[in-house]
Amino acid sequence: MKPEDLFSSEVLLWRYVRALACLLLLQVVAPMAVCNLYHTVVAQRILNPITVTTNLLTSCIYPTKLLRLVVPAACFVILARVHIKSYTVSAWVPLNRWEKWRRVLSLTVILRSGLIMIACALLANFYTSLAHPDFPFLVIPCTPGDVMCYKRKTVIIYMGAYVGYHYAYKYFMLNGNLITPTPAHPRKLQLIKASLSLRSTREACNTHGANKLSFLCAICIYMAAAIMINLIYDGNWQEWLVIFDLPLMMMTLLATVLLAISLSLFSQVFHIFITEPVEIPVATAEDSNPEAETDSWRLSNALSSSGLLQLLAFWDLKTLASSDPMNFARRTQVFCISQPGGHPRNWMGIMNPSMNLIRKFCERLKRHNCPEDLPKPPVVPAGAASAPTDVNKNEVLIMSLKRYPFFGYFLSDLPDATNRSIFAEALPVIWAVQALGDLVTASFTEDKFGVVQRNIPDILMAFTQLQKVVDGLGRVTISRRPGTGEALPSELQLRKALRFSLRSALYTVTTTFGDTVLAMPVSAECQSKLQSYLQFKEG
Amino acid sequence: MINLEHLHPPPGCGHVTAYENDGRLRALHVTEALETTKKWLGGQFIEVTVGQEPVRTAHSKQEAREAFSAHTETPWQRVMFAYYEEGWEASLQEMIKGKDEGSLYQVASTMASVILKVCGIIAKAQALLPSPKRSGSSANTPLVLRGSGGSIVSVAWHPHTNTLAAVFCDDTVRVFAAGRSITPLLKHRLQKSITHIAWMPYSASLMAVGCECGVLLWTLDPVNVVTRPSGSCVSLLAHPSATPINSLTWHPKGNLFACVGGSNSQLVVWDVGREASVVVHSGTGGNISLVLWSPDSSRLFVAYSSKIMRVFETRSWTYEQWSLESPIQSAVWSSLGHLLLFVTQDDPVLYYLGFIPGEGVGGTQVAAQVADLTQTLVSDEDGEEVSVGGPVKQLAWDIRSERLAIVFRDTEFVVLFHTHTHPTLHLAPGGEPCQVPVSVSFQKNLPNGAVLSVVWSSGQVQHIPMRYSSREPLPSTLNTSTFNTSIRTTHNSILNCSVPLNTSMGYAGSPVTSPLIGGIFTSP
Repeated sequence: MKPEDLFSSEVLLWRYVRALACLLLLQVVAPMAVCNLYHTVVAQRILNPITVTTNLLTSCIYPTKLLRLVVPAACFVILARVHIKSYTVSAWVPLNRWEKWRRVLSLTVILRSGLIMIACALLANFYTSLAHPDFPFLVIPCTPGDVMCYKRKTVIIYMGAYVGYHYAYKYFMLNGNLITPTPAHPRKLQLIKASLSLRSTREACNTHGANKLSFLCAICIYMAAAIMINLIYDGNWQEWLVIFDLPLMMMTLLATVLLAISLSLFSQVFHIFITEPVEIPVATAEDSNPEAETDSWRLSNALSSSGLLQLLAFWDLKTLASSDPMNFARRTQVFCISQPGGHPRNWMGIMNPSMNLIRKFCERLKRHNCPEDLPKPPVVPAGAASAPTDVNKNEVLIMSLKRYPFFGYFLSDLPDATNRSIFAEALPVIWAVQALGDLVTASFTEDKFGVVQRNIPDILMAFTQLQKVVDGLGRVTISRRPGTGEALPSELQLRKALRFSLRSALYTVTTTFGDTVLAMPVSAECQSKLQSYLQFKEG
Repeated sequence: MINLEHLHPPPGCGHVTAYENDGRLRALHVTEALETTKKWLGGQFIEVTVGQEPVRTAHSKQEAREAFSAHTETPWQRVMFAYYEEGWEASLQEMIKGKDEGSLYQVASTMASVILKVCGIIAKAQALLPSPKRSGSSANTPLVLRGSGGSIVSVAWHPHTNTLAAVFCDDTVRVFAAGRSITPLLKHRLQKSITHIAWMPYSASLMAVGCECGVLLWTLDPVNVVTRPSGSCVSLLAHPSATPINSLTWHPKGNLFACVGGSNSQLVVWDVGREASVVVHSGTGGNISLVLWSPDSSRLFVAYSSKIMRVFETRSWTYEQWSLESPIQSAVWSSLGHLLLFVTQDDPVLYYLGFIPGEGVGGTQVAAQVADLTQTLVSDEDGEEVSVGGPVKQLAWDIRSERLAIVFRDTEFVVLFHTHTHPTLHLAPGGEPCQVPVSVSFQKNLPNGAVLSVVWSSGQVQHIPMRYSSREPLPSTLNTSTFNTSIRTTHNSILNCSVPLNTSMGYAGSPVTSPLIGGIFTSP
């Protein structure tokens, strides 16, 4: 079984289930229990604890209550489905405006946004029906003469859908679906507690469209649409002014705020559960058997996989490599050699995927920024030359279209887009750099058999080469003043982080090894770089 | 237990401690001392000087405004302005200030004073309760207010190079490097009320400045010759639940730092590269005054302004808690991260807490008393009686954990202990009259020996070189497995004060000189 399949069937699936269970408990069962308790104790003035408990229990199995539970649960399942299908570990960076539009108009995005909007509308309806008996639940039909009932329903549903749309736009277009592990991993309860704080709920309301301005906008759009429809169908438009009543306003506000909070909580809890670190064994029992499957659940395989598993594997590698004495036993496994044979299998299993990743990343950057530095590719045999001509035809077509202003607007490259899209995938590279740096440092004292020694020059050269390329790109173009509160886009932040961790890793190695690094067989360029690191002259 | 009467006599009047040689501190005349230090340190000597321009203290900025404002507006307008600028409390105070402005104003003024008095009583009542919102412990006051008049209030040595950052009382930081005439001046509009500065480990250029608005990260290019680094060298890392910063500490590898601040007990960890933060603990216990990451990165010490302290393990951030008789004043980890020395605000006693490697925090149940620092009268080299000791202000331990410097709150002598398996007591730099040490810091990048930098209340920074042959290896050259075994063996042995210095005992051990006397500290 491939490590990816193993990961998704044995780890991820359970994470999804636990996240959903936690969300249902947090957002449906707990509020309903509190509402019931309030209803029994305050409204019905029952204070006998036994009666209260039995009331609570019996109310749980009431068909109407159950029905009420089913709808939000279904909403959460829909939301979870959309989240599971569309989360990503590297930010999406459009290369030109056309790509942006293509994503907005793509069927999957429209479908998923639609699902989010439906779920949000239903949830808004659920919250209002929970809070006030005057606002009947969707499934309960309005009495024929009650115009208000119908209009109230539309207003609430409309607002719910609006918040859903807001969320979906952020989620799909502004990298809301990006999940990255947090810098430290306390227990999940602590993280959930932190995301429930007053400050983060207020922030959630602001980001997910429950703020004053968008509320006003939504009402205005809604009113305009309603009046237009009424005019077209020859109704009395003044009828629609009825919706300006205070209870409705309050209720809409409440529902929107609750919805925004639950959406933000949803994405945060989902994020917390998905990015929980996973400990992948360095070596397994199968290792002693040389004919064992190559695709077993091992760190080296996970490192060469892709997506979330790769990210978590590099996180695990980074933790393993850190100087924490608690990881001493796992580090010993990395530095040990196979019996019999004496091959440094575990170390190679870790080093090769990490170095491949770093080299590939460096090559991609070079290809885009300084193609002349790349080694020349071998000459292609004449038979296989048909595919590139197709590509060239397309390129020529695009180039000719770009000349027209209309197409040029859509097809011209956004500033620095290619580099940004490369750096969007830099997170595993950053962790690979940190982990290799730390492992090399740890090998100074812990590597009894000298398994790391042979590869130190390669690692140092790869680091200095990558650093040269990254530094060659110049400083991050978008600068911001500190204290203004805006954050850099994630890909630019990652670029900074990569420079930062390369420096840090090189300093860690040179500080630990001292002058001995100069005796290593490295290129002259690398040597001069190492010299300046030894003198602490690299800033 | 060792006490201050075991000290060698402090230097007499007119002498200052110049250096340590052969295990003894030597005192010389002021000018001679400076010459000797320069001779000893050679090219590594860093002279920390205040420039020609006068340095104004940062907390007197408010008064300048009053000096220039013309009081042409009516008292009501003044009250309004005070409300807009500083809030309702200031407007009430402004109301009381006005005199002879008519009966209506008099009534309002009286009411304002009554309200303020009630507020004062409520605040006092709140201070009595152990509420988490209480603030005002001595540890989170800005460095400027903790200093006493001098222009330099604190220094921080770079962990790897001969570079020293000095915090000035006007909330600027100057960076002094050996052999460089340029001293970059770090000044920024957000850099107010500096509480803590720390250089990032494994980096030449990054410094974190904890201040009112969060942590400012300065990137100072070591080969750059700019004297006033621009605003583009700064990035602000601010988490709303940790501002203003009370304390911050770098992960020993340098990629993360933990900071605490404000009036809540939230512990925030930042990834510096990604500028991403996470709240790793938010519990009760009052505001946090101090955080310290252990040098082996596996534990984080957290001191609260209430009478508790916690040590977290940094894997899943669970903690063990110890209750104290008074809040923590200062604490230091040993270089291996297996011992914690601390002092409380009221007791003049040095305590130590041992940690056993393995899963979890692994702290010992009770803290043991190591040294009695009660204020005593000792006679100096001239035979005059001087008082040393008392409540402690700051502890500083050198990188090999062989020299421990202690600064006291009320007395003006720094006490220096030789710490090893057996701390022999030595005298500290003696003060010139009316000179009080403000803070101390050890240089971190020396291959052997140590240099202690003392900031005196006059604003001078004195370096005291110490020449000794090291018995404890640097943490980076240690093997963890041997570390495990040796700590266990020494943990059970009882060391005695009268045991002579045993150089063959190896490095690991606790600075204990007496049978463990504990009991006032209990684990929950």
